[in-house]
Amino acid sequence: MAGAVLKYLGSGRSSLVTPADQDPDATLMLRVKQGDIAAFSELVDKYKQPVMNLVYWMIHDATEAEDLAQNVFIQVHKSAHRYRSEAKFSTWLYTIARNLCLNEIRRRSRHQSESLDAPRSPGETSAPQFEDKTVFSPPASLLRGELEAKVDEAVAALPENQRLAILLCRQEDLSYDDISEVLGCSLSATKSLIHRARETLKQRLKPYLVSGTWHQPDSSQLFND
Amino acid sequence: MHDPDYHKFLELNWRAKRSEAEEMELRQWLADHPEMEADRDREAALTQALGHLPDVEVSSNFTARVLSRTAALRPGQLSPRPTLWTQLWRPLLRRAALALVLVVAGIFGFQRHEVDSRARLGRNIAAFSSVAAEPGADVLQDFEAIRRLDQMPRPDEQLLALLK
Repeated sequence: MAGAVLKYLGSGRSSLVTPADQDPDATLMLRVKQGDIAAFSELVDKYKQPVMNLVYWMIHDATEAEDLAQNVFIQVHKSAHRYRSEAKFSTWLYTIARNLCLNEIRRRSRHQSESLDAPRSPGETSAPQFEDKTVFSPPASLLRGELEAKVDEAVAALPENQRLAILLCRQEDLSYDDISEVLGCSLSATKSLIHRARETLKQRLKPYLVSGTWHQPDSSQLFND
Repeated sequence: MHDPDYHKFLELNWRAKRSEAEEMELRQWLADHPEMEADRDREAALTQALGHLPDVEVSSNFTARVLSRTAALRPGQLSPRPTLWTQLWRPLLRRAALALVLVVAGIFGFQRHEVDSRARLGRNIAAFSSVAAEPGADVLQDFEAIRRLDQMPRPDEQLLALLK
């Protein structure tokens, strides 16, 4: 026991000891833990775009995406005392984003099922109409053409865990180990998720993936699919 | 296909950016498996397509709004940069406090051990003293007479029997 105590007392477990070249974001986060708002602002500026992308492509709601993305950073700030210097900051951040996205998706599905069960008003003769969430029309400013729309549609149709895996795979700063940590599953399960998602996307986007480059298929290929 | 090299080949194609070593590994694999060229093309096209998903527009005051909401939740967090006290002395004091607690616990434990040892010694002495005391010197007064009793002649048992 004395040895363990001496090891703790002599260990480098101090917020001052983390080398900046290993993970500069971790250094910033440790400053955030001590109330440094400038460090927090720097992290928000750096990660607002990737977090916003992830949140938007997960919940497919431009109006709510920015609010939810802000909530991610609010949660980062509130949970700063729990951040461990050994953890990679981006992994921790995306884990928070994942949890908030999944909570929002669950909340929406519960809200939708409650609405379906609500008693109809006396004058209502037909079933209430609900927006078809599977056919999503993102804002036109986001789409550069039919091809992007097809990709958007195909990604949106994936199960949420596969969708998340594919979106995280786009983040070049995340290794497969990091992705598995964010998803909360093993490395092999993570790779399996990515593989299945890509197989589904390849099937759905087959006419557009004939050659090695992304291109507009001719009409015969579209109708033969 | 359950070939582990094939899975490795797929994983290399999943990422848009590869290191030089990974790029060489992929080229070598394709050279060894030319029949996989079409697969590789489809994987590359899909990776490219996913990479073309546009960035979502972020409002210009996003960071300001986050900071504002954070400040509203926890106004005490708006402190200036940490001082020497928070950076240096507080962690040292924490460790010193822990060391002090351990030392006090050690002293307390040692004293307890001393008390227990003395109590055990006292009990042993009490048990020893309860043993019956040695007889006094007066019991040795007729010691010589008693000792000679064993040396006296034995009685005539035949005479005793006739007298009966």
